[in-house]
Amino acid sequence: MTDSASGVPVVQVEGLSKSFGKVQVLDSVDVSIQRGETLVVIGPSGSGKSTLCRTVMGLETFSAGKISLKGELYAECTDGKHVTLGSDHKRRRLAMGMVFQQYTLFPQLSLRKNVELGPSKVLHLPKQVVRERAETVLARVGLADKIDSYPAHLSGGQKQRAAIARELAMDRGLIMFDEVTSALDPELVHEVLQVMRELAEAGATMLVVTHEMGFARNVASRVIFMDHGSIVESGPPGEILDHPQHARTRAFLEHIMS
Amino acid sequence: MNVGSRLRKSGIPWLPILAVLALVAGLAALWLVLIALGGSHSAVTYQWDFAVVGPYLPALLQGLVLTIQLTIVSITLGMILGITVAMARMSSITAVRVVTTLYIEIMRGTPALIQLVWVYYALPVVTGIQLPAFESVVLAFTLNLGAFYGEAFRSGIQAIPREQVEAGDVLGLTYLQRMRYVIIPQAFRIVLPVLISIGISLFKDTSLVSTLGVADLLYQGHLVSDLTYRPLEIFTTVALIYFVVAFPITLIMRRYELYLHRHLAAVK
Ligand SMILES: Nc1ncnc2c1ncn2[C@@H]1O[C@H](COP(=O)(O)OP(=O)(O)OP(=O)(O)O)[C@@H](O)[C@H]1O
Ligand SMILES: [Mg+2]
Repeated sequence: MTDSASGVPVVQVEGLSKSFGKVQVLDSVDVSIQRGETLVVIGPSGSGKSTLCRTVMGLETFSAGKISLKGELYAECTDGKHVTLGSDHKRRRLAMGMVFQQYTLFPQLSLRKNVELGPSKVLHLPKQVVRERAETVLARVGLADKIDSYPAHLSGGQKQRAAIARELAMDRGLIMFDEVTSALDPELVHEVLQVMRELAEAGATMLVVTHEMGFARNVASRVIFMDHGSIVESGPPGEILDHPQHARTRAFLEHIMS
Repeated sequence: MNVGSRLRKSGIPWLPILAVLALVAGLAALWLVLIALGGSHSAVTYQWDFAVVGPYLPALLQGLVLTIQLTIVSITLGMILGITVAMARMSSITAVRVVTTLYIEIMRGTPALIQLVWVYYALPVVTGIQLPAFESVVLAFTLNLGAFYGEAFRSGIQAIPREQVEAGDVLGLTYLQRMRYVIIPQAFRIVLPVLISIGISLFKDTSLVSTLGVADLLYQGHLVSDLTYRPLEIFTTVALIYFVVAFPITLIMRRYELYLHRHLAAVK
């Protein structure tokens, strides 16, 4: 893709393809994300948005292409079968994280423990730092007073904000959000989007899969439209949402706006 | 039900405490009735005489102590083995999976008594290692429980939503850390009822060791019965002792289960 060459991309995906059996879910996808960018991915159901996130995150294998992190090879597939991992593979967990559509807080742990788990067991930070960090990130998503609550006692919006806090506590270069508001009651969507908007404004690097066109318009630095496993077009939100070049993009936008 | 739910709200485990007290009172009453019956030449030809048990209660309780030790040690080791078995059963390596499945099916498909005998008599012959009786039966029960707990844990692990495991992965937890912090605590909660019933069954099944000369509750019962020529009274008492231990455990664990469900309801 034609990214402004403002430095080495945080993540660069080249020619990424993947199939589930006979179904080609990703078809030679190229994406790269620059530091500080909020990349919003839109597209119809089944177009491969989740699969793209999951594959970049390392939760799925792939059949062709190459993924690099900060310019270093992370994973590559050349023979259509075996994914070779770059020497940088282990650093993936320190380079990016993801928030899911489903609620994924660990139900047996309080919010504090949920948030502290990564910094303590993965990053091995000192206890005091871990505690303070948990308090800071939960305050940042507006859940300071819920720090000792269990997930079962939270609303959907609170759960998703806490999941974002858990991700923030890892302090990684990129956060992917895969339709994090899709499971929520409509009145709870706003509070979660607001947290994401504040993150974007604070300079976080984010890849956001969403059907919330308002968020795409107001927060995205760039919008990508995906259909049938490939990127149809990509550009600033004003261009893609208001002056789409392709018929498929226009059809999708008409459908979603109606 | 109303009383139950009101009591449940108080935070103190009244329900099990009350149930145990009621049970003890009931048993005492039963005991007195049986003694009275024995004295009053009632309709049946057999004359019950539960008074005869009294002097031998310490001997029976001594057997109970061993039964409980045997149960606790076997359950602890069996759970540890069970976790390993569950992981091996879900291994990506086919050979590991096949061998584990074979072990599980053998343990589940053969009588526990034969497993005991096999470890106690056959293992020394095959390996040349002669374990003391207690260790030997603990080994047998651990192997047996490992299979049952293994299957229980596996079903619990497989009931955990895939995203939970993936979230642990995304967080950066290693496989073992995911097991420890994400999977096992949740699986444990899901399978708790099954774990309890396996444990209670074991508590009763430990009585099989009496046939190997291990001085557990039932073995002591046999001894006392031989001494007193009062098998009916003695074995009824033995059964009551098993029940008095097992029943409150069921109640307390059921309460604990309720507590878990209320406070840690699964993410939906
Ligand atoms: N584990 C899987 N096995 C088989 N097919 C799958 C699997 N996961 C996804 N697919 C298929 O891959 C295609 C893309 O799915 P994906 O979830 O990436 O779409 P999406 O763009 O995220 O859609 P949505 O907006 O509904 O979330 C779909 O056709 C889906 O049925
Ligand atoms: Mg999706």
